[in-house]
Amino acid sequence: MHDLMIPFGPAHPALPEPVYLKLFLEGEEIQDVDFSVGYNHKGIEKSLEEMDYIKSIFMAGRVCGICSSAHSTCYTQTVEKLLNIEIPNRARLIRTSIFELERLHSHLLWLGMFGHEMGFDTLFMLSFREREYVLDSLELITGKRVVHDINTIGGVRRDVSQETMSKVLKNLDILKDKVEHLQNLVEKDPIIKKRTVGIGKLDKKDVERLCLVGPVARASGIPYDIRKTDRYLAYDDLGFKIVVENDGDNFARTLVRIKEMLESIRLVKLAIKSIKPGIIKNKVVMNFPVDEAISRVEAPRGELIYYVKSNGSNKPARVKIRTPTYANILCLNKILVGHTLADVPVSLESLDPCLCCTDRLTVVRNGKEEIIKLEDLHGHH
Amino acid sequence: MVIIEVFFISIFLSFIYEGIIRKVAARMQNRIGPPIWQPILDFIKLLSKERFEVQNSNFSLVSFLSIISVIGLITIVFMFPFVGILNFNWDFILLIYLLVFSTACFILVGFSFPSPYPLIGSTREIILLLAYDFPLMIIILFFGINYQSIQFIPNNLILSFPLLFVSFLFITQAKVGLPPFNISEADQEIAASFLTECSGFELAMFNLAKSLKIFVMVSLTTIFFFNPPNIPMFFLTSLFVLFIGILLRVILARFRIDQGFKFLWIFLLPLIFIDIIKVII
Amino acid sequence: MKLPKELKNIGKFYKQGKNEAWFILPYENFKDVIKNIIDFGINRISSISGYDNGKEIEVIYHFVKDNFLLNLKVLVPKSLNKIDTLTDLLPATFLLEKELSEMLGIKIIGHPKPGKLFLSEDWYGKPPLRKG
Repeated sequence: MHDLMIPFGPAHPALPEPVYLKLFLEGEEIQDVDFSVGYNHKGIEKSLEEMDYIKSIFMAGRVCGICSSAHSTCYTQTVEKLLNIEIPNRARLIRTSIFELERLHSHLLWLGMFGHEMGFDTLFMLSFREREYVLDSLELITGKRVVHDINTIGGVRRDVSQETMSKVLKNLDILKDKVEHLQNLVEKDPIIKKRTVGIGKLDKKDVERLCLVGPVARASGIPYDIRKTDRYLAYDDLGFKIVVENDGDNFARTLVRIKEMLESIRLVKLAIKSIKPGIIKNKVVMNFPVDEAISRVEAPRGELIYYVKSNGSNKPARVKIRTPTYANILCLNKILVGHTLADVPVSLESLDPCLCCTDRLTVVRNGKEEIIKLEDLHGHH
Repeated sequence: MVIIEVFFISIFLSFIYEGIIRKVAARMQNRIGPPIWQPILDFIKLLSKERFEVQNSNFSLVSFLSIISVIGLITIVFMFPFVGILNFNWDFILLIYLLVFSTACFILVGFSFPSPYPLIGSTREIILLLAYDFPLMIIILFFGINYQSIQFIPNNLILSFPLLFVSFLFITQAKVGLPPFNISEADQEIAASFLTECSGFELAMFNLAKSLKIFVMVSLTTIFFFNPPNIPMFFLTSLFVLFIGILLRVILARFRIDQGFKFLWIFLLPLIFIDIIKVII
Repeated sequence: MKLPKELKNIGKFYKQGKNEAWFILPYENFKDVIKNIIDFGINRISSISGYDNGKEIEVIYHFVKDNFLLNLKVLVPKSLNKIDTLTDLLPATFLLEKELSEMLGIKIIGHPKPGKLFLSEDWYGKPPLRKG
């Protein structure tokens, strides 16, 4: 029995994106959680059916601002599977570098938000300052800081020069020291430990039952990482080491992401050093068979799956995206119940929710279907 | 000094102290930060904004409380040694009462609105008040028994009671609502706690009351433990104490309410008793 | 990982990839087939895709075991428009089935909390991903 219902969201200072959580409290302890998503619904899957394959790559990269390259790479990989083509080695290494640099910027952003939720503003400021090194490197390579649009069917769109590569390597050397300093700070700070150790615990059975993905699963002892299982892009050649912790609480998830940052820095440096001269794009004949294909990547938040079905024309017949936060949001009940209201933002943020990825489904164009009047948009009358 | 002068000078200084906190904290975090007179600009701007009367709330009570919380805090300024308007034997008791009075005004505001965020903010403030007021009262009563009135406090008591100084620093952080004890104003969890539904004039007055609390507590720390002979030395030592508070604000995260409570009782009370027993023995 | 012998006859095999296999399961007792697969050890589901191809609705369950993808397609006739729920076998299908139901207009029999997920509560147009 609860005596107070707190609405957490959709608009709340703690939430970077809208989600509606109904928290049923008794005193300060949470008894039950009910969640509602759909506030960021943009209509992407239906829009993708109306664009040709080249244009739809740009649309897929805009599903999410933080993990844009992950979506773009996964979609391009699926389409290349449909056409049964390979990409040249140089393009593979460039794609891997951009992918891992994006994981770095996403995890640094997450670390800042995590500190902010705990009231630790200094950690927020420091993480965002270090993130500038990553964004500068990305801008040098692709020309943009966040949404990169580097992929095309058969390879990448821009080449990277020798001078750019040396500048990026210098940035990464500086960044490595800073990330190690941040790791030291997080591991040794007593108040961070007090607020994260033992809270939001997920054990192995929960992960298997709810099919959780990404750092959330790896923090509970399950070594599930698509870079290890599928060995797509260049991870096989570069030798990827998976990061696993065993405790399953908020602190373990923090440690997994910080160690993954160090691993990403190593991978990008190795990838850039192994780039050999060559072409960046294979010639492609856009002859699509009537077929379907599925492909997965490890986005910064977990496993991302794209399913593309083609019907022979130059537009996809169906694109289905299953994003990692969509899978992880089911464990909210387990990690919030039994703890206090003060732990809600911290636990929620430790899942690294990216709700604009979750909500990316369909809306019907107003030209063809019913015109929805303004008063009809107000939910309950 | 005349009452009106003290009134305006203390309001001005409290804004400046808050501006110093924001500026120095920003510099420590490698940012530029707002100018020192930013709180004054905020106050003036808020006075020109619309006041929303929330339905089903006790709005006239909230307006009344916003004014008397400011007046209650300025009354404490009248008790400072070189202001000297309100000093008598056992004025320490009045000091304890006025310090709790300002917090009680905030708590009542939280209960005047039909919204869950102010409600939780006020319940947390009640628990926190219980946590820090007990050590605070012990320290103030100890001084009261020894020195009868604030104007008779000797110089440089920090040399005799260093542990009391350390405890008083943490109690100041809790009373003022700076990290690690900004529990009742945790904007990530409960929006703006008791200020969520206030706007315009009331919000300006409550912000002024919060700044005044910082000014009063920092000045009290200076008076109790240093009591410098002249006013320039007083400001220099106040700035030193303020700097320690800013340092704690920047390097520490926020406690949860139960952790904060445990810290204030289990960690600080033994420190206080060690220093007190030294005198008794 | 190659497909184990026991699973070679679960349905009509129609496509093979480097680490994937695609089957069409019969509509009538696909839930028993899936129960066998879960008991066999393949108990991680990644996604449920739906597609309206004019005559029927294709529902594909994507199962994962290490690096092997097992894709099971069930054809739902438009005259019936309903399918059994898998939430009692796999709690992870809770949100995936809600999305399938609202986007393609299929009723999920036995779902613990049917209702809209992404569309608003009073959406009265046709299901968005239906053709025509």
